[in-house]
Amino acid sequence: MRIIILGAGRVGFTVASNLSCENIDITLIDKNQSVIDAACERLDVSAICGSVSHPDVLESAGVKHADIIIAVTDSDETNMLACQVAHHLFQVPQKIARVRSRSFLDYQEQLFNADAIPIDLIINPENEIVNFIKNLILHPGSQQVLSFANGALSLVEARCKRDSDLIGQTLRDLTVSLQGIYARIALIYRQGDIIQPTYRTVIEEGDRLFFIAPSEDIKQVLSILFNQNKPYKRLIIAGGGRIGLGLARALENSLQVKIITKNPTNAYQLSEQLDHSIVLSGDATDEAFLLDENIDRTDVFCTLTSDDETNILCSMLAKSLGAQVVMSLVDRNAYMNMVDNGSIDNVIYPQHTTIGKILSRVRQGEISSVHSLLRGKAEAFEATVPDNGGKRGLAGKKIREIKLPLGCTIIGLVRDGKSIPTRASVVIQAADHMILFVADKSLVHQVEALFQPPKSLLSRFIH
Amino acid sequence: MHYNVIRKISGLLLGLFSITMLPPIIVSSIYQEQNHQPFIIGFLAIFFTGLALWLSAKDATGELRTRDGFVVAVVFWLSLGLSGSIPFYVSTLPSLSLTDAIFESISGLTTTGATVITGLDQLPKSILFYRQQLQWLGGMGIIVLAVAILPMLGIGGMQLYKAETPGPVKDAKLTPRITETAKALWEIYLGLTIACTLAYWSGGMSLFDAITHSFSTVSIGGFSTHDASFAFFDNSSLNYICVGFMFISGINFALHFKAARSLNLKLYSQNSELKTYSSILLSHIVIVGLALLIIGSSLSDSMIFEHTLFQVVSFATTSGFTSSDYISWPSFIPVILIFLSFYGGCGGSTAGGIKVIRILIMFKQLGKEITHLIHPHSDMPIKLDHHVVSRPIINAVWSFFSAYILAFGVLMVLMMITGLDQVTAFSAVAATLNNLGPGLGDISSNFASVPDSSKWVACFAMLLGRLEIFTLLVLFSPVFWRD
Repeated sequence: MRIIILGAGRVGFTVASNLSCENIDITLIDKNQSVIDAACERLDVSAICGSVSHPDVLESAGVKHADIIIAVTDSDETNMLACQVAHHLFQVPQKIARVRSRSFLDYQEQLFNADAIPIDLIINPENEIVNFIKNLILHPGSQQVLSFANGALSLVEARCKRDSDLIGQTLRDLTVSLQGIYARIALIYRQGDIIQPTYRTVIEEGDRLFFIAPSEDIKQVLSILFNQNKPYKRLIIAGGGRIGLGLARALENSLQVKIITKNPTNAYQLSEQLDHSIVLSGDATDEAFLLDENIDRTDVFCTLTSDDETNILCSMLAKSLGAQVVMSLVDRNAYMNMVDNGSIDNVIYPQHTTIGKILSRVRQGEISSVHSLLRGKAEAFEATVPDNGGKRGLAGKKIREIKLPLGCTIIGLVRDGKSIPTRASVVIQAADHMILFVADKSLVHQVEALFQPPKSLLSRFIH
Repeated sequence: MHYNVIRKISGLLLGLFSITMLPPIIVSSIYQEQNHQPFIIGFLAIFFTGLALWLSAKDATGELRTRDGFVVAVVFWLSLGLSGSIPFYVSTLPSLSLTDAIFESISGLTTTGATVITGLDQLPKSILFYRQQLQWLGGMGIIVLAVAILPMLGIGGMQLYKAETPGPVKDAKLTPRITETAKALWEIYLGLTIACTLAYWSGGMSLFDAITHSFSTVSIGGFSTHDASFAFFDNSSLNYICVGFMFISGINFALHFKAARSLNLKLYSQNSELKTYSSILLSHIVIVGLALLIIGSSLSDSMIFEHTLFQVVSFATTSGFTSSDYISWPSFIPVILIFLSFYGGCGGSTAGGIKVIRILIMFKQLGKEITHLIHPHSDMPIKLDHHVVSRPIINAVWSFFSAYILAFGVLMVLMMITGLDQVTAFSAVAATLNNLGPGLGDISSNFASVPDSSKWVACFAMLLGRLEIFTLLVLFSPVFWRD
């Protein structure tokens, strides 16, 4: 598969480095020579310096043979134009573009179709991060909430803290205490190892539990298991960029939101766009300022500036001043290990939230909702069981009869929008949505093959 | 420095190289020479050394860094040069001293083509085959081969590739993946070799000679299975075929790749390096041909063109085949030919020397300086094929040039210290540093008569030339070892 990525900024670079590990030919185009040099040095991709929407540049990047182009430059207009050029001049089958401006997105359906601006998938990383954080705040105690099958099932990560009641309990005990709610612990991440739990697995301190449950039961499960029955009320956001603003806007009607920004002009602009939030202009690393704003009585303190260092330090400061839960946006891989020790309650890696949507387009077969887990080591994704017309395939088999590679498990099943327990005796039907967990990314291709529509003999011969 | 990763990769590469001991065994059994032993010893020794290295670090993880790439490339070429000498040293015919065996092996791998062996025609076919095969492996670079077939090298493969591939513009990858690029290069290389074999075969060589000579032609090596080199065949059509393939192999392989992929021969006519390469060849053919016609030589007029063409292309591309007794030509002509080897081949080809592209950039820079004197306010970048050549590349070209001159001077003095006269020393350095092969004076036919110490200097010069000075020089700089 050949993919051309336009714009080697943070998103472009991350997507390129993630995809180049997957046996995909990547060509990066950017107009900044130094970024291109860095890409050449660090990634196994080819990189071209030039204007991304110019046909000659695209042609030299081999756009004629490309399967997907992903336009993720800073400018919405450039991205849209590049997709248009790729569509009309070079007939690229799939076009993914980043469009952030709300005024474009308001007319999404009229604008982005084959007749007007041909974009197959619009990504908006900031938006996804906002949703991600919003989910965390609405589900107290969770580390991440990922939804599958149009929101029917959710995969939730939660950390087992030192004083938790869960320590020492087996999974059987947990099932009893859930009083009939169907929730399954899909895997446990313990000190760098992925454990596939059985009923006898005992939970230890520091475990990261991933459980899957119907979305409407998630809050209840969290409150039973983690005693988190009190929803968050007071939220302080540090950083008035797109993400900060988006989060404030998404939550200002349900929570008390304060948003801090350094720049007074920015503060003024924010206050124009927000109705119920309190916009503060000041330095979020200023202790006195934070105390004035009752940091010790704050439920959630979110640092969402574009600067990793500020985010991390600011969160640690807020935590020491008494904020109940602190969350930080951390972009750089190098910092991830440092902050994973629990000094910050929730570390949000924007890279992994973006990549999932693109991965679902890259995957073959009937794969949707791909979510990168554990910093890209593992993956959870949803696959639709193909209708094979009674021939060999998944449909008609019992779960225990499906041969999956080691390290891959079926963690959820959704039929007609309803979750079904994944017992070994359940018979799979066509059009079921299956949620699978893969402990090692290299297995993904084997699993993909299961969900490909049956090939005719001829096409099998050609391939 | 990641010594573990370096050990692991070196082990892998040695393992890969040990396999190349097997084809000569097959040749030996086809011709019923009972000459398996040197190669079996070679295979076992290299294989187990590689295995031991690999086992000692098999759990090593982590990527190869730029600086590790240099170490692997140099360590590998050194160990290859040494281990490639095992069959020469072990075999009874030819019976070579350790120095000679190593010289022969390095000369083969670096595609120099200088030899210490006389009486080639009497040697077992398996040894002859092995010599030619060494050149063939060294031509496109065995590291590039490894990058192509060992996917586990990962991104580190790129660092290795850069350390080994010649030419000033190494970052231009032909395909998105380095593995694919390396594969494509080897496919072209293999394709050319097969075409060359068939051409020689149909031109009247025996199949064995056709295969072995195609190895040394496409790799621009210059080894032959006969003492008299191409003069042995004394066949005009073979000479012309050889000229054709040397010319093609002296062109940048990236250009071959692009032309083959787009099926567009126009690319050749648009490439300025190729144009310069052709005009350098043409002008020298005219000069040498006219000189031979006017001053006169033992050749008949009809043969002058053929042999001028052959010698000029052979020296320019640094092959070093000889079709006639060029040493007996008017004395300035051999010197011109030796000079030609400095700037004859294109970057990214299998040729040695400074490469046409660098010369071209330097001349353009020269022109720019002159323009600048006339128009002091002019600001015109140097362009190659309508693309601006960036300043770092120009700087790299000039520093390469100065390093080359410096290396030449130092090596020449060293050669003279070891006891060679000035003409021999000059041509010996040119012949080895440019990976050319034949020289003047005492070494006009082979290196057998020079002292051992000169051979060691020559070995160093050949590696220096093949790795384009800097890769090897990097290891001698204190900065490299300072962590």
